[in-house]
Amino acid sequence: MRPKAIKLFGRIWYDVRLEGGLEVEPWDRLLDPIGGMSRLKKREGMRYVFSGGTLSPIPSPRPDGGDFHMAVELEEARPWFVDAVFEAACRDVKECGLSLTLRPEGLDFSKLRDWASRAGEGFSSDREGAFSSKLIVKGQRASLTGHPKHGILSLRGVFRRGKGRPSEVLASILKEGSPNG
Amino acid sequence: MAEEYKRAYAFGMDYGTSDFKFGPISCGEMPQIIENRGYFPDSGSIMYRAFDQAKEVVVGEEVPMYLQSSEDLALRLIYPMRNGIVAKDDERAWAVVREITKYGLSSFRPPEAEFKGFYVVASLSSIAPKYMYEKLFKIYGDLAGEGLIAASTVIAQPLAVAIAHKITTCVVIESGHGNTQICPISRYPIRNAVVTINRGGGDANALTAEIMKDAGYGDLAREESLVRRVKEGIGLVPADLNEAMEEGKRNPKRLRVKFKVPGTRITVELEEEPWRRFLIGEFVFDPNHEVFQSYFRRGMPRPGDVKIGDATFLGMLDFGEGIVGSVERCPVELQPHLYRQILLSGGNFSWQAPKELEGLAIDSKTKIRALLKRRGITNVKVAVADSPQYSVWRGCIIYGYVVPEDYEWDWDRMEGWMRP
Repeated sequence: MRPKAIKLFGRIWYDVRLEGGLEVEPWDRLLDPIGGMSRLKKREGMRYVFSGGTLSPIPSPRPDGGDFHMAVELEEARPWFVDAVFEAACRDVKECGLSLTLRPEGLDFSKLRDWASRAGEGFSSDREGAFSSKLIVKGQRASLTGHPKHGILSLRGVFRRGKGRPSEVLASILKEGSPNG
Repeated sequence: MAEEYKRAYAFGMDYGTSDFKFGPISCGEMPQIIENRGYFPDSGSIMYRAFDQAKEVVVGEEVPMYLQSSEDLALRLIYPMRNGIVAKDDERAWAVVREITKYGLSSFRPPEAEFKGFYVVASLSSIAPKYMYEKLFKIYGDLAGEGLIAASTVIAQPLAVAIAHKITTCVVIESGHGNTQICPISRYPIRNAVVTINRGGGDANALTAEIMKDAGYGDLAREESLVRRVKEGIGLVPADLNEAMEEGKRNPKRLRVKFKVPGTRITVELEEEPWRRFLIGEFVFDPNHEVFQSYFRRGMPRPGDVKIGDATFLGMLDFGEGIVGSVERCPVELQPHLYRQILLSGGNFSWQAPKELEGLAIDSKTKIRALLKRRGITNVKVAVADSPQYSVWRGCIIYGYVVPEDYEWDWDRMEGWMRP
């Protein structure tokens, strides 16, 4: 299974301190470096369609003080594009929340489930084969959930700057569920 | 922590007249879909007692396995919504709503031990009366007792569409199976300006069935799911119906179509009068052309005006007139902004415009622009929602993510989280 052929949906989020009266919006700060890594094909309202995927900000109530919750939605994103967004976000923060969903064709869910039960902590599963496990992959802590009935795999965690990139974490996990792996 | 939990377990539910779309935030780009219906088996029958667990209502993929004779269907197969509304005292309909809700939540119940229920965002028609909110919250309260729901909220479908597209000033036209809602939004739905049309994909199905009968497929025209597939396979939206009909009569070869139903031996072919393909799309947008009169005369139901709750659904209003009527109920200063952002959503806008029929067949947004141009409105921007059939669900998910966990439900504002 080639991770680069995969399309991902999900969100990336982090909390930033709004300093200096919002001169530079967190959204603009995020967008700026991504433009250098992926070609902007078009803009539809607040949806930015890049060559590697679509990005749009999720609105968030403005705090009177303290941190602002910055969240963006990813649609049809290639793994390398997720890396680009993650790296752009990591210019401002040391860690980001990341939630990714994919519907991988040909994934052997039972094989992946067996691996997740061995490799992870807090493993749980149900009668229909759905499972959840907390893993450390490429230095990143993430919770992996599989719903074989619906063909959905989701990964959620707080990813730290300087550790494995999201695409690397994902590739490692998918390798464990590959029928030929 | 509570906020983080809510973001992880947001769950969207779109109660449409025909389909129920549901799924958690981890579903990604699209929800699961089942038909919004339930079957009440004859629980007294010895076959049910001997072979099945006693179920009051069967929903989801299992329904076809319980079906019996066609006569039986009318009595036992219940579609709970009519034009997006469930009658207040229709106990069987509410039993179906409860069962599909439970089915949706249960099928995504996460296995992890820390799961304490979903944060459910449900979406109803913009004209849903208050009692529907109350009834839904009652159902959600019951399901909270089963550990499926932590908190819930309900939003109007057009607002969900606007949220999904991150647009806060727009007109949303949500056209589903049973009806079409035209709803201007300026941060919130402008309720007084909502125009509801008693016409949706189901009416295009009815016309498709008539066209199939005329083409010699009367036996197949009885099966609605098949008719729907034929509609999607052959239906076209004309740029101009008169021109399309003339071209079709002059050059029928250009429009001839053969539709093979996947997985079957069934083929539907429009050989004699292939221009009738254009009637299917036209009927959705504007059913007032004289050509439709012959169908009405032969017994096809004319989309009538109906009053449901406080709302009147107009049957024969064309979409252009509906949009103008809705926008003109809004402040004059706002009107140009609304015309500049028209969002089409719902499965009823998924029409193809094949390249070989360029100039004759057009897509939904071009048709809407043409209908508005006819009324002198030109500075218009129309967009079809990405995956229009899923945009309500996607809006629900984003709304669930955004609304703070500690923001309690307020009946005056009709927003916030209702706790069990």
